[in-house]
Amino acid sequence: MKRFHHSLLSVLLLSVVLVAACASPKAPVPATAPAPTAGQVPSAPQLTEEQQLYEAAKKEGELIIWTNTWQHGVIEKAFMEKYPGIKVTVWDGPTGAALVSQILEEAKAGKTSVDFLSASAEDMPPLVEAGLLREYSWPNAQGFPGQPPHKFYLNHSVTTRAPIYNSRLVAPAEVPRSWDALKSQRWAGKSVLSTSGTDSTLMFAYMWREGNKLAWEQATKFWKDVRAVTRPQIASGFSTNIDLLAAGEYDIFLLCSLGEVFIRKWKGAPVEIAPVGGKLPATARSVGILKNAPHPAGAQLFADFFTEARTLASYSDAVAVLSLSPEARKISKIAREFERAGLDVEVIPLEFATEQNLRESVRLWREITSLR
Amino acid sequence: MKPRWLRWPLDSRRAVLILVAGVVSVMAVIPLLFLLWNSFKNVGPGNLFDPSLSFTLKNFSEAFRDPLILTALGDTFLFAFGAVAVSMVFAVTIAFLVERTNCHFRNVAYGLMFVPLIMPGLLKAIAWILILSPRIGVLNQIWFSLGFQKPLVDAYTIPAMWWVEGLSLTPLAFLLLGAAFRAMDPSLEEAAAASGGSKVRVFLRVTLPLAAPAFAGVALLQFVRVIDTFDVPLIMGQRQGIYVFATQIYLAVRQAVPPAYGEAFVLSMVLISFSIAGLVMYQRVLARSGKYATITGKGYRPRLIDLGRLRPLGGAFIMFFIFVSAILPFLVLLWASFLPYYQTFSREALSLFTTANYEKLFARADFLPSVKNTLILCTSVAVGAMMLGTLISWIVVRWRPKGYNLLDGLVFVPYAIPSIAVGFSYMILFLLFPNPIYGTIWILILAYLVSYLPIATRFTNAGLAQLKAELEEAAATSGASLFSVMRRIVVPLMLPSLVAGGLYIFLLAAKVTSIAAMLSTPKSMVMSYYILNLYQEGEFTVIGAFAVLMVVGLTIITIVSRRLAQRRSLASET
Repeated sequence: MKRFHHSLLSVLLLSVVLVAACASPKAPVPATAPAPTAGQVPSAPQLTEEQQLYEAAKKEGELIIWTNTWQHGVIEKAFMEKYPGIKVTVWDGPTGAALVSQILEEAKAGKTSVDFLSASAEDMPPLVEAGLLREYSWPNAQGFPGQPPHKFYLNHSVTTRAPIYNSRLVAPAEVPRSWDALKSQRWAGKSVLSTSGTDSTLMFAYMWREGNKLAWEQATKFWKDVRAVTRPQIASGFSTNIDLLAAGEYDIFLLCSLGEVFIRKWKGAPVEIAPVGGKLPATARSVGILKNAPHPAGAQLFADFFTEARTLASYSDAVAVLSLSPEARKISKIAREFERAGLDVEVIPLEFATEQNLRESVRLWREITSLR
Repeated sequence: MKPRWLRWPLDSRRAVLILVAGVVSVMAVIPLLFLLWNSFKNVGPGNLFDPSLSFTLKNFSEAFRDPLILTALGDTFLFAFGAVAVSMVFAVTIAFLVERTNCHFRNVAYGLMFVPLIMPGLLKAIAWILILSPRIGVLNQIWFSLGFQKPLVDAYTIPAMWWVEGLSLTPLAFLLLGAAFRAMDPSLEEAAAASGGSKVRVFLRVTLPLAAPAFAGVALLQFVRVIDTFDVPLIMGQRQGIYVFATQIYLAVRQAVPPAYGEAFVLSMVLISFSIAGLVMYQRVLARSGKYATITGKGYRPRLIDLGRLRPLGGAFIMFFIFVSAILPFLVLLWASFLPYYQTFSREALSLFTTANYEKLFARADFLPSVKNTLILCTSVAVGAMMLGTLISWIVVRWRPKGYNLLDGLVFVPYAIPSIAVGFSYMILFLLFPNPIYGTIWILILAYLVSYLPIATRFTNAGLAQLKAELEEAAATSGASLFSVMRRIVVPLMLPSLVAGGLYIFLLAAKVTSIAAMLSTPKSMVMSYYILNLYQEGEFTVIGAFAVLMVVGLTIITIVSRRLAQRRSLASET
């Protein structure tokens, strides 16, 4: 009986230690006055303002960030190292419509779970319309191209898509060099198409537009034809499908978000981008501060930290997207990879990337991939 | 003189009954009514539970006009029947081998059966994709190396889903069927054998028909559980357009633009109807099984069939099941966890081994909080469910006040509500009024508690039924308070059942994704939902590292808990 109690006690103690270990994040070395480091954009808020903000954020003690990409963690870690005393909770939560709907539902119930939002640009307009984002000057982001006409959110980087292939399974002569080359029996039963990236239809409708008229029909027909000819597997997401492509499950991923491809290439995976030519249309990634953020000072401090050139370059390399910050591009590895691969990227202008067009794009992409 | 609590008048007992039944109703029945109410309302984002909305059948008509829903209906049944069939083949065979034969490994089979319970279905599905995938799957690679051109199996088909889900269902079916085989009166078989029947003939003509009601009951319970399954169809079925109701609910709420709440309510209600139908049939089977009763008051132990030279073969079958249901998927994920990017087995891949995936996982700011949340969730749900279960069993098995059957029935209501629907209803319900638990781990604890209460009471009912009431009465008449009796007699004697039930619920809570997928918020991320996110955005190699850590952690917890329960059991016997 005694032995049992001792064992039980040991297990309980072990559990407590485990929980405590999980609960208390590594105590970072305190930084007395966070000084700008080399590579930072000098237009950051004045030091005293920053210090005041830091003090206020420390009093709040916490910051909650909703991201749509898990690699975001690298940035939060750097933030906690620079600003000890603020516990950052990162949530890789639902994305797209689910993200918007959850924030809307919570707001109606008078709740705000998060302080800072990092999402696709298409998720932001409904939140602006509902008055849920805070207007902020984004002092570090002066001169970033492709911004909305207001300051409720900031577009900080872009992502684009192209076909990628397994270089061990596809001979150089077979590599598709145009979009039409995708409509080939060569890929029948050996390809995959993702239900994710629902703004893809807009990308193609924009790429093939006539004047100001988006080519919705052409874009939809093209992808329906590709699907009919290649009979691809329909999967969700990009990352795990790049893994499967690299392992040889498919010969070609018909339309893949490019950033992750470089990360796999750096690890030696046999994946290459098909040189289909022309400018690749891109859509933006954005950040915003929630109007009723439970920790407003922390959110603002993070917004300033996130938009520093050095942070954006780190983000760009970790998440594998092309930064809109000219300074960040100079030091970003991904930007150099895009240049080396001769990829020409064109951000879809805001007059085309409207909420209505994005919704239409989602509807058509779901029709193409036969998802709801 | 009896202590006061033993002399409680019936009215007081009924008051306790009403109080407990009230709590259980609030937890279990209100979400059900909420789903029912909203399925007849034209709801959408922002107007859920709006009393001004009139009743309509629009949600039903729209849902059933959608050809995808009708296909999903067929796929749900197809998937459920196949998975239950696979699990019954394994469970019946292993239960028979363990309980009625002298095959090898029969003494350790019950312990081994906990091993497949450890790995979450989502991880199993991912592992089986890497095993059965048409081009890179381990099995097909071996097949190709033998000179074949076409793949032997395909991971993205309904039969592959049957296999994976069937393996997951087997341990519980085995535990239930093992009890049925153990309780079988051997005299009928002996009579048949004495009349000249061969072993096979006796098995087919006597043993199987005798056990048939038990088989049917277990199969129906499994059917109710499997139509709720969300992870295997999502991971393996979606690629070939195979959708089941549970995935449709998830997609309607989490991926439709705008979220199709009305459709999700309707699908939830349809799913609940199937579950209720399954449970009603289960009760009927139980009621009818009386005429097949083989359990008598006689003390006996069924005669073991000597397998002779086939003994190792029986043992090999048990080990084959453990290998395919637990060891093989784990090995595949272990392999993936040490690779920079996923690739099939080769010397070249071996030379690339790295621990980077583990480092990457620990570098994530949300990894350790999710471990902490999972430990809190699983421990709270396991302890809470077993405590509440003990209280309910005490009322139902011991006190038996008038109307106790109602409580027994109420407790079983959540079994009919698919966990994805529980998660969905709790999410919407707790957004409707100001409360401090939305967005915290506590809403998850509450939802899991509701879902697993029926399972907890099965363990506590059985545990309490085995205890003679005389022990408690003797202590009580010696002046012990109710609390002392519970603490010093009932709980220690029930400990093996409580630990077994608690452990089972702990493992379920750690694995089940569907509730967490609906209720997780920044402060309540748990590991099961974390895997889903990793799958959607991460890399197989990092998922592998995650799986290894999770399985090792849960294995340690399982072994320690079982050891403690065994020691305690021995201690109380001596």
